Formats: sequence, C-alpha cells, structure tokens
Amino acid sequence: MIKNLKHVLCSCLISISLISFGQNSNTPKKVTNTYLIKNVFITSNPDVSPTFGSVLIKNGLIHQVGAAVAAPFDAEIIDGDSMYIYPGFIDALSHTAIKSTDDEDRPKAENPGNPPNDLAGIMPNRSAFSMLSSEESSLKDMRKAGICISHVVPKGNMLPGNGAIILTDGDSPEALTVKKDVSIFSQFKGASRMYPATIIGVMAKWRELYRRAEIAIKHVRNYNMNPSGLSRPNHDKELEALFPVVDKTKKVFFKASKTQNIYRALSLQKDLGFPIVLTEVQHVSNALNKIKSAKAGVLLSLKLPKEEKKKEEKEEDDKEEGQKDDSGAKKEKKKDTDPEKEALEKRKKESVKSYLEQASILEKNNIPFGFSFIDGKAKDLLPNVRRMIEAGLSEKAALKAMTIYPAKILGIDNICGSLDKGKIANLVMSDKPIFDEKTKLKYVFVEGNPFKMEEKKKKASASDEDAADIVGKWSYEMDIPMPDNTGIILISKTEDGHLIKIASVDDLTDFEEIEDAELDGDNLSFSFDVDNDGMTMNIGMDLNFSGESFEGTITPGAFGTFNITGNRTSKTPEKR
Amino acid sequence: MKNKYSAIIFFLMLALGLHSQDVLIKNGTLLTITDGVKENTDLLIRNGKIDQIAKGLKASAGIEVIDAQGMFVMPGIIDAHSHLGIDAVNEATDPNTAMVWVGDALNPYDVGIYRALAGGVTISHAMHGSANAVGGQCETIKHRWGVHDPDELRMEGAPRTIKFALGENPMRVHGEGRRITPRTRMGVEQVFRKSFADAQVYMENWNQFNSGKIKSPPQYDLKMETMADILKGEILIHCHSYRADELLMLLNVLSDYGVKNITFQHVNEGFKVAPELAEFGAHASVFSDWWAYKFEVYYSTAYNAAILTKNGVVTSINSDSRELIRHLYHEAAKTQKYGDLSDNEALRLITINPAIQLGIDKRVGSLEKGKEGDVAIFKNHPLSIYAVPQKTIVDGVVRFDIDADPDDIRIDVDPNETIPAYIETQSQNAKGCSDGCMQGVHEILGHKH
Repeated sequence: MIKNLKHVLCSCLISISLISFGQNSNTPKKVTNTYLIKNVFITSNPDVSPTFGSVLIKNGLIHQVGAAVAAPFDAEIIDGDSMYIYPGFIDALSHTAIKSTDDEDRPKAENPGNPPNDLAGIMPNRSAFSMLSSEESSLKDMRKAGICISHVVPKGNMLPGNGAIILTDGDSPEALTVKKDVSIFSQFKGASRMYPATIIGVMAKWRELYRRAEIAIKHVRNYNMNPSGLSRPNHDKELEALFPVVDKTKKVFFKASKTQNIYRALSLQKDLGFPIVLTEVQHVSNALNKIKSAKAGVLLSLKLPKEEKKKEEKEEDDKEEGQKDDSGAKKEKKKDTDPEKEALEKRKKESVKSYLEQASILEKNNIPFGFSFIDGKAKDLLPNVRRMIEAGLSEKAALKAMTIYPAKILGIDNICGSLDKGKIANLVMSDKPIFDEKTKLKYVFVEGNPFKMEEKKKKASASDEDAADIVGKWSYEMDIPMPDNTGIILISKTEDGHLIKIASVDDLTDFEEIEDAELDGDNLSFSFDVDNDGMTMNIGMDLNFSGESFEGTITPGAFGTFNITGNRTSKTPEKR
Repeated sequence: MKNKYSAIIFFLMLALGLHSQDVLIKNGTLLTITDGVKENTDLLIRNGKIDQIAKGLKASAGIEVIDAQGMFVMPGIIDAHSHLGIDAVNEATDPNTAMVWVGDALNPYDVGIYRALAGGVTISHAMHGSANAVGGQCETIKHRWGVHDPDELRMEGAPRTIKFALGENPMRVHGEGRRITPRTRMGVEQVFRKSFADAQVYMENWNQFNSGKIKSPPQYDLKMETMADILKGEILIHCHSYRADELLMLLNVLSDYGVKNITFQHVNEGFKVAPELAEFGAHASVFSDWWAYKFEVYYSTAYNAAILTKNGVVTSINSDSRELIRHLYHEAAKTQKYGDLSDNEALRLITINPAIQLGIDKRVGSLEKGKEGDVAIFKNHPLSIYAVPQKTIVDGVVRFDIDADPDDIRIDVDPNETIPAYIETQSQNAKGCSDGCMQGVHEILGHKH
C-alpha cells in the first residue's frame, strides 16, 4: 500500500479532484502575453447590457474592448464562440493561500489572566503577506469558481492580523500579492483557557487596546515634536499596528455572522470610532438601521442553510395529494403527522427562507455588499448566489456583489471589478449567461493568464485503492474520565470523496460536518471547533483504520491527548 | 380559534415592533407596595409611564383597555440576580476580571426572557458569574421581548453594577484549578485588598498626569479603571456570598477603602449577622429556601429573608435560575410561612427592595404616578398558591398575555436546527448544573454548539 498519497481538502469532502487545469507553475514558459478573445458577449460591468465583440489582453492588462478589435501579430486568438465574458470575481475576504500553522507547539500561558499578546490571539501586527504560500490548493479552488482576486487574512482568534489583496495565480507570495497590509481582521473568538476567553473578554480587550493605542499615538506624536522631559515611547508592536485603525485609515473587517455579533461589533465601532466592514454575515435584516448609521460595509457569508432535500419535498407533495383522495393511505398519514413537529418544521422553513432573502434585502436597502469565504466554500459561489437570486436578489446586484462592490469596499476598484481598459485582465468566460443553472465556466483569466477549464473523464484513481475502506457507521470510545465518553462517526461516500460527520457526545442526533480532513492511506485526521458559552475549543482526531476497527488519539484543546478506539457498527452510514 | 387568532396578531406586533405605550387597566385591585392596596381602581399608563391612579378613569380614543375586574395589579417583579439574556457568564481566566461587562454579550433572543415575563418579571439583573473574586460588570435589563437590538434590552440609565464572589467558587477555579491566589478564604480577601490598593495607585498616577505633574501618560488599564470607579462610588457591588465570617470580612475591606454600596447575594448565613449588615447599610438578596448544594451552604434557614427584614436589612428574593424566575411570587410567599411577613413585606422582597439594590427604585418597583409602566396582572393574589400571571406589561407595552401565548415564541430560529428540538432540551437538562453562577467554568469535553 502506498502511503504517501495525501489529499488535503478545503471542503468537508475528502476528494479526488476531477477537474484539472491546463496551467500551473510547472508548465513551460508562455509563448505570448497577448490574447484576443473573439466573438463573445461582453458584460464589461454589471450596469450595462452585454455587447458582442472582442477583448484584447496585453501584458496582464485589458488593452481594448469593442466590437471590432484588430488582432496584433503576436496575439493568441481564443475564439469565444458566442460565449459570455464577465469581470473576474472578487473574494472579499477569505483565508486563501494562507499557510496552516501548527498551534501545537505554542507554550502554555504562565499567567492565564494576563497572557502575552501572541498567545492570547492578539496579533494585529501580523501580516497575511508573510503567511502566503503559492502551493496552497485553495488558490486553485478560487480560480475554479471564477475568482481572480482574493482579500486574504490570517487565521487565528481575536485579532489575527493584516489582510492582503492577492491574485489567485502566482508562483511566489510576491507574485501573488497586489497590496499588502490593507486591512485588520477581527473575530469574536476567544483564546483557549486564557484571557480573553469569552465574548465579554474580547469586547473588553478591544476597548482597552484601542484606548491604549489612542494614548500611545498622542505620546509618540508629542515625543516627535518635543521629546524634552518625556519618557521614550515604548514601541509596542501590537499597538503600533492599530495606529492606522485609530487614525481611521485602515478598515477593521469584523467577523459577525449572527445578528447578536453584528450589534456587538457595531457597538465597538460606535464607542471607538474605527471604520468597519461586517464580515461573513449570515443574517443582517434585523440590524439594518444601525448598519446604515455606522456606514458599515457588509460581506455576506456564502454559507447558506442546507438545502432541503428534494426527496422530502416530494414526499410532502405526495401527502398533500393523499389528502385529496381520502381513501387509501389514511392510516399511514396519521402515523406521520405530529402537529408539534410540523409547526417546528414550518418555522424552520421560514427561517431558511429568511436567510436566503438577506442579499435581496441588502439590495432593497441600497447597501452594497460582497461575499466572504470563511465558512462557505468557493465552489458554492455560483450555486448559492443562484439560490439568493431565486429568493429575490436581482442578477445585476448579484454580479455587482461578485465584482464592483467588493472592489469598492476594498478600495481596489481602480484596478479591477470591471472590464475597463487599463485594469488588470481578470476575466471569467462561461458557455451560458453566468446565472443560468447549466452554466459551465470555460476560461478564467488571472492577470491575463488563461486557465482553461476542462472536465476530465472520471478514471479509477489509484488513490481509491490506496485509501482504506472507511465507509460506514463507527462507534467510538474515548479514554477520558468523563461520563459521556462514547460517540458516533458517520462516513459516507460521495461523488468525489468522503463525507464525514461526527455526533455530539451528549446528543447523538446532533451531527457536525467536518471541514478539513486528511485521508492518507488508512490514516484519517481532522479537527473541529466546539463552542460553549463563548469559549472555543479545538478538538483534534487522528485515527488509524484497520478493517472493522480503528484506534488513535483525540486532542481536546489544551487538555492533553487521549486514546480513542472505535468499531464499525454498520457498513452503511445512516442518515441520522 | 379566537385565541389562535389573537396569538397571531400578538406575534406579528412583536415581530414588527409596533407598540403603543399607552394602556388603561380598569377596576383592578392595585397592590401599590408604597401606598397600600387600592380596590376597584384604574391605572393609566401613557407614553410608557404611570400617568394616573384613580377610580373611574375614562379611556381616550384608541387606547388599549384591560379589564382587571377581580384581578390583582402589582408592579412588575424585579429579580436582582439572574443570568438571562447574556451569551457569556464567566470570564474565568483571572481572579479579577473587573474589565469585562456582560452588557457586551446581551442576547435579546434568549427565550428565558419571555418565560420570565410569564412569571410577571419585568426587570432582571443579568450578572457575571462567581468564578472570580472580582467578576465582571453586570447589566440591568428590561424584559422587552421582541426587540433585536441589545441596546433596547438595557434599562437605560440604570447604575453600573459589578459582581464580586467570596468563598469556594473563586478558591476552586483559581486556587485548586490553577494553583494561584486565592487558594483560601484569606486569599479571597487579599484579592480585594490588592485590587483596591492598586486602583488607588492607578488613580493617583492618572491624577498626576492630568494635572501636568508628570508628562508621560501612565498605562491605560480597563481593569483598574473599573476598580477606580468602584472606589469613586460609581458602581454598585453585588457579592456572591454565604458565610457570616466572610460577610464581615468584606464589610471590613469596604470600610477600609470607603466603599459604601454593597448588596450581598445568596447570603445564606446573613441571618447570623443581620444587625451588622443593617448597621453598615448593606443589602441582602437571598433564596427563599435553597441551600446545601455545596459545603459552604450547609448552614441556612428558610427564615433568612424574614430575619434580615425584621432587622432592617433591605432584602430581596432572587432566582439565579431560569426556572425559579418564573414563580418568584411563590418564593416571596414562603416568607409568610417561614417568618410571618405581612403581604406588603413579602411583596417588597420582589419589587421595591430589589429596585433599591439595583439603584432604580426612583423609577420602578411600585405603582406610583410618574414611575415606569411596568405592571404584572395576576388572577388570584400573587402570594396565593393559586396565583396565575395574566399579563405582563413593560413600559406600557403588553409583552406577555396568557390569552395570546403561542406555543413557539422564539424570535430567532436556527435554519439548520434538528427537529424534534426536545432532544436538545433534554441534553441540556441532563447537564444538571446546580449553580447558574458557574456557567462556562466546567470543563467542556462534549462538542456541543
């Protein structure tokens, strides 16, 4: 068995990629930097209707857009064949191309009540630029979704660091980067077992840091004017990193998915005064007034409520039909009907609908917005935007939210966001209008560099044989001294990999889908976050499968590492 | 059918935030608390404030009229110790976390707020937990169920309060858990003394800077800012406490630092030192008859509230629980069985007295002209075992109505929730945490969201 085959995935799937790209950093040097795309319907910006014509790209920039463009001698001609071309999409915030860091080696805080800033997750001085890797597969995932520019921020807790604007193609961090240190990222995510551990800790720490930065700026400026009699300013790197925020020249991108967290972020903004962009927002309509008065930017999350399975809907239809002819299946109907459950289902449906409508509500309120990709996935961009359009968002606003709006929020609309002459040649080409359900992306140009999307035939991958057969329902037992020390893991096969779900220890019906998992031969490892009373803990699992059983380790936060063993109870993972 | 219809309208009104703040309550038996019992009397609330208390008031056009014939009308019940409506209770990372504030974690969607309304409670004191000797700052909230903005849940202008804690909780979390001070009851005292002493130095440093005696700014410290505000008398202390010796210890500490505002919470041995508490002007907020849930709470009595009251200590009865808060009127009634308090004395324990302890007695806690329109209407006397809350009104808005009480009152529904939802409730109950104050402290090894 070959064990070096490693699949690292950004989605919850352990997958073997079925789509590959014509270009990557290993390909030979390009013949030309000039491309003429002919015979395409051009949507140069969302406000104009498409025109038929050609686009000329030279040296990574858009050189000419028009009905009749002459081909220069050195141009490679791409026949658009009546396809559709749009400005390249913009990811307004994500962790794309950010190297995963090992948190395991972090020392324990000696004084959890007053830990060093870096341990406490307070690192506004860090730069996403210094954490970029052009090898990260997330770059490819973004390109596949038509995204040419990403605003990337470091991972972490309360203040992970500065964001950078990058292209989704480039063979080094320098080549990827368009602008560095353009923003500060923040989240309501406490440190593990040290201050600030909870929401109230994060809020208090923000207030204190900000006041300290305000005082420090004054001190530095006084000292620079006349140092006589003043103590030398202490060059605190975290506070200095906040100076542009205090000066209101750098925006804080605050992750605030829930209504409650939107209000919390806005109350900090109101009390302290920094410019803010609410990020990864899932529900916004109950906080519109304050968002408007704060002039806050909004980035919607691409994580939408799970789609109702069509099967269930069908069943319901059958039920309704059954009610009409009151013969036959009356008995069965009675058995299925639980008014309390139905009422709950109804409210859940209303809630799902409300979440899908958020984008259209922003449109109706004239609040420009973009999309962020922290909890959602790049490949969900078009499918989920389509769901938003079904729920009332106009196609024009949808395209804006993927192009010019985020460009403006990020302050880069002079270099991207539309197909204007002189802007970076970021383009997306599709065989049908972009929001058509059957649309396939055909080309993505990143800074004039063409990526041809080709679907390869599915072939029996070697890795299918290498990877252990782990499908089924597994029960496990942890060697942890606590009452509930057993649980269930469900692993199912999907179209392009495996889907892993783990049940809560105290509620065996509450499953969580695993975000990042690695399957390496018969070794499966993954981790997930638990949230309780505002304290977040990361739990890691490392399992070695052998036939019908596995053994391995579980690492709950900083509590240490414990043994875990499991057995396959069924070859078929149950739905719930 | 009629009920169902009114429930829908009620719910829609909540959802849309359409509220008139005018209401006329006709012909009720008014338990005013500060001005006796008034039978067959009307109470008019206009613009959210009590406008008139008299017989035979006429309703102006369009005003909502509630017929309270045969009903008892009392001021909205106030709970001086709860943890409702907040998403974080304990920042258990240091023996002194004076800088944190639960008002930063308000959650108007906590359905416990509505359930408290169903028990006639209009105001509660959302407190930080008792993991630390000096806990975080608390928030007095009005139960305006239906709002989305946390700012609308706050009782604007209510004085700032802070949680202190004596005894085993801070000793367990920091002494046993982390091997640091406080490991003993003596250590808890030293946390207070050191914090106050540090705050004095801190204030002095800033005074020197502000008056120009020193030119370089001292370091800004939110914890010390808060301690300084306590020293200045701007923050009321609410202290988790049980044992008599520790009550006296804290009184000594406060005397030494000139701090006057203190309400002892739980204070199960308060009856032993009631005269001393009265002399200091300390207040007490107690359980009616709940003790023996840990070693330091073994010595207690159901006569505690009565003894404290008879000794002149401003006393209240609190819930510290999502369940007890729904029948604080029963809890108050127990002082009539244990201690023979009069009706008015018993009702004071859940109205004006907690209002005094929270520094809001000029605004709420009794039915008086000019006070805020917070009212609970009961079928049968609230101190009767047959009492059933009918309507609960906050600032002139009916926020609970037993005739329009939908099965599912939630505002915020998780679009990914598991149905049936009762499984979740069961597992929550199974956790069986006896002490609401210690939320978030127990090690989390399950992976529940």
